[in-house]
Amino acid sequence: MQSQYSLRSPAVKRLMKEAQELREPTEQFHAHPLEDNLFEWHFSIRGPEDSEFEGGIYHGRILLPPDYPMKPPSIILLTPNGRFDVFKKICLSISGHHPESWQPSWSIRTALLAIIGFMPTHGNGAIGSLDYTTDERKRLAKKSADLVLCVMLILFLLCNSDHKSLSAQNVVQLRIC
Amino acid sequence: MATENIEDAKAQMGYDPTTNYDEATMAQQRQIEQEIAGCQPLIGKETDLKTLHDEYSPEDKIYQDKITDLQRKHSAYRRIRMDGNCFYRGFGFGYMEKLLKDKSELQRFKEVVTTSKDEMIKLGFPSFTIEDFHSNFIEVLEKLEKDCGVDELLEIFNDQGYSDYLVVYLRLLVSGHLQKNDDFFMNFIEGGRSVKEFCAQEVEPMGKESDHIHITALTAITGVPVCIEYMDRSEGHGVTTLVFPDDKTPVLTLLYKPGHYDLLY
Repeated sequence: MQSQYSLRSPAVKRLMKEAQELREPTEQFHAHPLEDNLFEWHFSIRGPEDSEFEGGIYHGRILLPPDYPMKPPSIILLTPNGRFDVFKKICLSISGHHPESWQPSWSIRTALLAIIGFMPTHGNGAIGSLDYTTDERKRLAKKSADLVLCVMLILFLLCNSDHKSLSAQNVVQLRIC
Repeated sequence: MATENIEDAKAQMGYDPTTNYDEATMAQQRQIEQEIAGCQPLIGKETDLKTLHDEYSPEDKIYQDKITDLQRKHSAYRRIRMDGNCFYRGFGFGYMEKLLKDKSELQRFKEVVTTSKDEMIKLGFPSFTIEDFHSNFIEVLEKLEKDCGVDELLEIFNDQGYSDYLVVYLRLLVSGHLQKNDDFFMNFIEGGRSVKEFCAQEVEPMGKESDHIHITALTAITGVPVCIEYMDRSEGHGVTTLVFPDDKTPVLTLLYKPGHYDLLY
């Protein structure tokens, strides 16, 4: 990964340090850059305890601007959760929607903890925020965790059997579980 | 009926409630930044002060008189890019340029910067990122200890990545000083905000301009007295001179024109 970037660029140095710092998953989240692009990260966050998101596992992407950390990252959730719209940049003071209030001393860690922290708060009609009912959010939380289990099961089967024995039909059955 | 009219008006203005206008605003902001970046370096060349006369119309008596007054005390200036970071960048470059010729002052300052990191972490700043900005700042000071000349310093300050990292550390120093002395500084903050809120909104984000409170804090924490020559449309033939703090001899001088700082020689 190192060879294709200018090591003189503070953004590159900073992102490599952050990748190093975050390489072990924490209780609350796991985030890592794509293998071939330091400026795009993928993450999973755990829904906060004692909230309607408890038990949920939500995935998303982080896009870093070339002048990071002077400008904020953009954060996009991919797992339906009932609080933030999916496939849209999240509107928080900490994300790319409000560059005027981003602080360079914040980091990817700060941004993810902020997302987790904001989940149980009211969206107040901000762009990209959703106001689903508690029941719907609980259902999505459970579904998100099931989805993670499914993906892990598929990966397990793929790794531990010869590929032919896992027919396309089996995969389809697994996906609807 | 009335609501319909409003909807009609919105439609005529091209307003679409389903569109995310933040995105468009940000794209436009970025474009303006790039246009400015394309025509103005972060720190300009040392230029004769008399060229400043050409920037204003010959009939503009107030400014022409004030420039003449400025020429009595100064001979040259450097333009700093107008990006809201001009005070910090101008201060940083102007002061480090002095440090090139004053090694004992350089040692004193390095000591100040070294201890500032732990102070900030103690105040609750995130150590991981503070460490990042701090080590970059120290790296530049170590370059000054070796045979670094004005040209190399100019190159460092005109490298956007490096230069912004230096600006961030100066902003952090200001934020740390204000928060550490919040009992005192809370008296100067408007809008019912706490010192911490003020720092989050007006000090730490890049591009936020500086006022007296920022200058007071930066000169105090660094121990570097600064003179500011204020040139505005107010009555009188001369510029207004202020020194921060007022009982010290300034190490460098900045020229203030409404909304902007340049460096004076």
